Amino acid sequence: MTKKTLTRRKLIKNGALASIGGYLYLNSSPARAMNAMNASQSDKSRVVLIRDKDILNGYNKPDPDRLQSMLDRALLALTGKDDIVDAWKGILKPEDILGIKTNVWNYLPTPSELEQAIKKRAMDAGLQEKNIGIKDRGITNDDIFQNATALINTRPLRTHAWSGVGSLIKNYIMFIPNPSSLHGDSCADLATLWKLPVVEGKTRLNILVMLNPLFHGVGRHHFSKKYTWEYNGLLVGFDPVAVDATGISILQAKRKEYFGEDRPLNPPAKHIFLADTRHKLGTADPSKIELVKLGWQENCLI
Amino acid sequence: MNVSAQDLNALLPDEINGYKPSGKDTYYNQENLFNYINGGAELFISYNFDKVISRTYTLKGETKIVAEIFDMVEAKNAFGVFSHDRESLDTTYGQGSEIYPDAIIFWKDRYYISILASGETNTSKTSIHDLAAGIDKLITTEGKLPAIIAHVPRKDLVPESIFYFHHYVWLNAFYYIAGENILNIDDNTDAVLAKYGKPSSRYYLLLAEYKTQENADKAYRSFINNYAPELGSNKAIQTEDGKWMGFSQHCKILVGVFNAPAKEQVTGLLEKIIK
Repeated sequence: MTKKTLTRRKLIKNGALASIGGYLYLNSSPARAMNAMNASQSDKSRVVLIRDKDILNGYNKPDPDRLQSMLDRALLALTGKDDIVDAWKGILKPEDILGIKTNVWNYLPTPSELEQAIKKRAMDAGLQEKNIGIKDRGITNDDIFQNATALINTRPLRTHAWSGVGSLIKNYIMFIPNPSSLHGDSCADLATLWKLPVVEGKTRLNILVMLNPLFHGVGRHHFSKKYTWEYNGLLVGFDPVAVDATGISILQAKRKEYFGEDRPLNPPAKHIFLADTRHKLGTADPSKIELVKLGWQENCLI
Repeated sequence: MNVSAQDLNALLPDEINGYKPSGKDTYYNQENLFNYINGGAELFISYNFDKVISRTYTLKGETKIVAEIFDMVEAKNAFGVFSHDRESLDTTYGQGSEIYPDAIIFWKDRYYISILASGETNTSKTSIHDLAAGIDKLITTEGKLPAIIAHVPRKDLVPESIFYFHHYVWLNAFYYIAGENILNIDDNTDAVLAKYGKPSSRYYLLLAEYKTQENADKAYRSFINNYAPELGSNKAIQTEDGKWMGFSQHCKILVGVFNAPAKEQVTGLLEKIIK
């Protein structure tokens, strides 16, 4: 076990892992992470954080028009295009069969307003409505998802009692009929989901909903509204690991602010670390993430 | 050993403030708990959960209330699950409770109880409290805390932070130590984490008691080899981040102190446990 075992001290000593491990496990300061992110380079994974102070009409209830505007601005920043339909046409083709993978967790589902905003732009890009599916449960028996040529992955970020966080990476667990088969070692190898034939190479966009993130879970439901807050944001990117890692940094900063001390995710979100270091799905290294921040900046936490 | 299990449905009142059961009670065990709470099931399974009853109470015009009683087989497991959420030393219900605007959780004997309203109204708030009190009364026995907790020194302890576990996944609950099970923690190990000092200068104690001396010896060697080879001849060392740590073995118990601002905090805790 000695050589492969990852410990706190090895993370601190090992430069190649220190950046990622510091970000995900050791609660590196947000300032350090931000400095690393701001050093823009073209080979970095771009992640767009957009926030709107007035987006919410209630808990997890965004204003549809403002949400559409947020999504559009994020897409333009992510793609570098000037026109929103051009931006979407760069992501989707008219002949695509599109599965929009959402999350229906009772206490914090993907808002229907976001589902519709994505669908609208997919249709603006030329997709036929009959070729667009929006679903979480039951996708293993769904014709659109089983025959999809494109996927868009979207869910709210929340802490999770076993995997550390409910992440974009984890959101594809419904592509297998027995999700508990990936629960071992606190869901360490969730990134293998992204190698499934029904998934691999198909994800065109990842949207992590940060409107009312859950930063701490309690009880068997792992939920209390007390531990959500109005962050009013979306994190958008092509690299799911980079988007998840950025979201975790925000959650950790919120936990530190709320509890007044470092309060690591319990258990750590090992699956995001390993999605980078073991499965090479993307990067969780803040020095390899270009964070673009748009909109409301107050209490940004990153 | 604790008292034998009571019938779970006998621990739930038939009526609370006009709220009555809606539909049939549902039961889950280790085999099908995933169907009920998906990945959340693993937390309970890691504490040797046996079964749970779930009952939904409804009242016309009011938000519904879901009450669940988890039979954790032993009191130490009920306490262990509860210790994940403990932020205070509240004992309003059972042997320890946490109270939220829309929920109450508590533990008593071998049972972990969760009561959750799906919204907040005056009636639902009153009713979740009355329901908790009713269940508390119907569970007539108390359970013992894990014996290892008696070894936790009290000076500078954050008392509500005591966290009990016997699955390695929870090793990093307060402070990232390792991604793998370098302490060989399993169902035959009783482990505790606790916080000391002020938030700005927090340090952490880990105690792990093994079933046999041989197991403790192996775990000690594994930790030293993987985490701190230089500790073999030192009581405490300064780590790369400038903090102090120590690790020692006393018969079947391993003791670790992490993240201490000063060497004396490490040696002080280690010496107290030796005594």
